Amino acid sequence: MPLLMLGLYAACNEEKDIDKEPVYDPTPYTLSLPWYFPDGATVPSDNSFTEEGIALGRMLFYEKQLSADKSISCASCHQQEKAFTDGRQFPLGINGGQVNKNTMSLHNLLWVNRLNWDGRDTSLEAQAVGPLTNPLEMGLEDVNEAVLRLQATEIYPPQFFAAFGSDSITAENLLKALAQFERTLISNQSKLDKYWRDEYEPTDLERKGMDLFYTHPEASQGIKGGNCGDCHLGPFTGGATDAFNGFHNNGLDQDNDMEEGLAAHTGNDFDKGKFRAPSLRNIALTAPYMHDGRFNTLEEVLAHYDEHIQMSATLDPLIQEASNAPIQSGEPIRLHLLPEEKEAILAFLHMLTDSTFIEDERFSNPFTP
Amino acid sequence: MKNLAVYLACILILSACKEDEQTADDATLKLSFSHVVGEEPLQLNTARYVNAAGEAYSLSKVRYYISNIRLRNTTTGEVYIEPESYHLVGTESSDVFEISLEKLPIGTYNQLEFAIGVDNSTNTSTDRVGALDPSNDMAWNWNTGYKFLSVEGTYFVTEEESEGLIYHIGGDPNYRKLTYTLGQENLPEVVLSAGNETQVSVRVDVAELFDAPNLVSFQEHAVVMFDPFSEKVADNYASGMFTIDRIK
Repeated sequence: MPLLMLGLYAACNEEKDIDKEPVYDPTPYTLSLPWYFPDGATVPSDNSFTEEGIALGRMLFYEKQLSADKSISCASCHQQEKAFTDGRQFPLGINGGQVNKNTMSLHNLLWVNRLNWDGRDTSLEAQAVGPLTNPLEMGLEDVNEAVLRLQATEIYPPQFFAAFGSDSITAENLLKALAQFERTLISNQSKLDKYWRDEYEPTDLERKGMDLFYTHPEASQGIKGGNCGDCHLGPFTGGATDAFNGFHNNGLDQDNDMEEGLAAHTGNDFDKGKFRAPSLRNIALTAPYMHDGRFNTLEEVLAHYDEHIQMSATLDPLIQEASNAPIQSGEPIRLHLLPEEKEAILAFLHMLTDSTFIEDERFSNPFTP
Repeated sequence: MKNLAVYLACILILSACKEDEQTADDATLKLSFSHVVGEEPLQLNTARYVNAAGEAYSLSKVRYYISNIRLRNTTTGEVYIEPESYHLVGTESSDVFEISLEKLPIGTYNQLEFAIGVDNSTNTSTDRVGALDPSNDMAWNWNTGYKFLSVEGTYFVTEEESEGLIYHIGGDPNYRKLTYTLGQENLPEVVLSAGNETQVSVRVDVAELFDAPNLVSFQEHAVVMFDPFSEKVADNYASGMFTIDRIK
């Protein structure tokens, strides 16, 4: 409902072009979201959805002129068939450049208010400037370099007029259009979604995996758990969205060889080594895993959480104090999962694959017939 | 045609946006929760505290449910019950948290009641939205309902050695109602008058969670989740952790 209000409110503030041709008359667009998705989906008040803005954003997302040598677009690293990832440890920028962070999957971004692995950007509009201008990614001098290129085309100025009421392209409107398109990438057709809508009955293995996924083990009470749901919350399986509560140190490294993570952004020692817990939708399609793409398979990820947790000052207490066997002081941290329990958790993770989403025409390359 | 539709929608929205006129019989009550550890304002992550048993600790998370807020009218004895009364109080960004109750009947009230936790009928379903949204990091899993209180941090066993400090308290026996009688000692009654806002300041002392009536030792109980000790912790949050220190 708030989304609709935003759309209409923006429509209220339209400048009416009475005496100009063509007429600027954008069509408001309303997303429909499933009831079990969390509250807090936000759209900036100055960038409400319009059909025209989304269509333009989709073109820009697939537009190679947005890279310095016109060789790559956003979609080069965010490929739809891989749930908008690239299958690589690190994305391949122009001239073979590589940043040291794994490409993040794009879906259900309306809830993410701390973007990137380290949470440094608070809006998609701001976030896009990073990859566009990073010399290791798309390598533009600044966003205006792309603006000048697009202004010189036949196709783009009218599209910008239709979306924003002016055929003078601006960096702000380019970023707004990209963000509008990205916000429409809603994934809600996985088996888990269908389970929530009473359209799918999980297998025994999936059900067991679901219970393990969402349960924190407590050996003293005989409670078995996989300990995933403490960070990957609810039907959304994403991190908490309030403040930096969705960021965790998940035991990948020890203090002396740990990346800054969230601390690079906040400057707080207690945030060292914390990274965003992303939503696990389509996780089976988005290998490799972790902020640095260090694990190639989901089996490796489970092995990490089961028996390779590294102790450090900022290790999440919910990981430190979790085991399916009694915890002995001074012993290394182990979950003690059985092989069949790992198999069940894997079955649950595969329930999160949304094949409708990766084939949805609305998100595909508009330049290929 | 489309323009007309948008125009009509604008009119609807704009009229919806207009402030509701205060009618003669509604008032606002604000409950503000300010968090302390003993005498100090609560500081997450950075401050070190010492519990009553002499053990050092720090806190990274303090969250709990305040639910089923009720007010008893002094004159008529009628009880006002807030509908859908579930509030998740968290302390992530500031140490004060406010709950606003609007459109209350005017009058004088000599009793305030609220509960810590989620009542039994609601606790058994996690398919809810708002404060009870399972994505809020307060639902345990699909079978065990909600964490009524979630306190996390670090217990410093020695200077070199630390353990996770986790208090996740839930379960029907640990749902606790707190009742405050007003109009005695230094707490006046709550007087709600038309168009005015009354503020009740609640002081939440996290140190009390580990202190009385049950002295807590982290060495014995650094992690409390499902074990019977939960009830001892619930006894602690039901007595002395939440005190009303001002009504104005």
